Amino acid sequence: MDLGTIWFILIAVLFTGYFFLEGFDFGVGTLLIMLSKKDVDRRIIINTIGPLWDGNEVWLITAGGAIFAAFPIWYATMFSGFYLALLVILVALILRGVSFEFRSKNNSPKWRQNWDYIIFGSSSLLSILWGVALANLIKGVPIDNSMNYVGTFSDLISIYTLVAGITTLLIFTYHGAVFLSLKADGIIEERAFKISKPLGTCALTSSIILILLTYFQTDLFHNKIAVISVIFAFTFLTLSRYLMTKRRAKLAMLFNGLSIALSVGALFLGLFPRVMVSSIKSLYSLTIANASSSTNTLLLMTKIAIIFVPIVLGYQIWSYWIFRKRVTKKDLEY
Amino acid sequence: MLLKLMVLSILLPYIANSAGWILTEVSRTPWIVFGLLKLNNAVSPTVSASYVLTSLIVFSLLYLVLIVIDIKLMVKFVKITPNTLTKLKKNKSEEESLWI
Repeated sequence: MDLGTIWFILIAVLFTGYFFLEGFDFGVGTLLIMLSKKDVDRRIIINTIGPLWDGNEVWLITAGGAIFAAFPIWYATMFSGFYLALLVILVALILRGVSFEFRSKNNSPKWRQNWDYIIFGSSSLLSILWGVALANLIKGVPIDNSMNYVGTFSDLISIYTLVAGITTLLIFTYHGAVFLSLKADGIIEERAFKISKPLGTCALTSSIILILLTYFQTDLFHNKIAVISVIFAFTFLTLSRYLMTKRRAKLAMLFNGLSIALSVGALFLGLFPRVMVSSIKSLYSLTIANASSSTNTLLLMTKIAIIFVPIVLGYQIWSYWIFRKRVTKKDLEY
Repeated sequence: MLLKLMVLSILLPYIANSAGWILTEVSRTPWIVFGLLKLNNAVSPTVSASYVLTSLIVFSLLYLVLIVIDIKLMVKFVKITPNTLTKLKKNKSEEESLWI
């Protein structure tokens, strides 16, 4: 296996980790205003992800950084082509981040409510936009023979990409509800558990539509392993929804997480060996070979990654271990 | 007198920090990577000037709003002395006092 492929796999793994982890904290953000009007309850909801959400975002930064260093041409085409879309994503990420910090700094109910709405709005918008962005990678965007994106912002929006966006929103919100029924207690646990069932059903329905559209709109199903991956992803989502009926939140969380991981995996398998599909001509697609850095750069990056990835993984697992308990009212004092 | 000067000196690291950045960015022109890549060769061919202007305005406005909120909050917290804190805590129910 050449170094380019190794980095392609690593980037796929980083995105998988990002959606697996940030998926539930987006979901918790979306659920924030739906589960309770009481400030104490909302504080509990936020505290379930409080020590984790910013660590989860590290995965995105690392994925972006890895694309920049390992595939500068992919980075250039994608970040220039998706300029306005990524601007919206970045603004939403910034607003979401400060909301968690600002909300508690003032006692006024109005102040807190406003930040809660921003958390809800930005979390939901981000969940949708990531689905739209990923769908565009596989569906293909107008890339010309000099590897430039020649479309406009509206080229990124189509029925297919919007269905993908709604699906990611539903799956992440379901992921968040399962997470909350694991991490909160009392009334929030109860309500999260209750809402997870219709959410899971909606996510399943939306996934079926998305899979059908993917069959017609993309060439993802040409890759046999990608097909197997999609089948498993769908089975695991169904299983996770079934487990919630039995109130086995831990297992449901695990299987939904696996389902998200396999979906992202299927996307990258479907892309392979391309990194971005050109909708103008398949010859113009960006591939691992034509978009990657020099072997020297990749070799250096590989050495750095071998040293630091285990360290980062280690401290993230550690922080999840430390904050493994349920968040109760008693824990709010800090 | 000296204490008042110290309060004002809170601004100094911000000025020093920004000045340092401006110095490196401005003095590097026309290079974006010194000796390797010139600014005009590094401009993205597909991002129009209006896009760049949009993002510049959006980020300026966003950070302007954030800095106003930030300064207001900082002033609010600076005004809380140990004395007023105990008073505040007394006046409020236990639950509320958790997040002053």
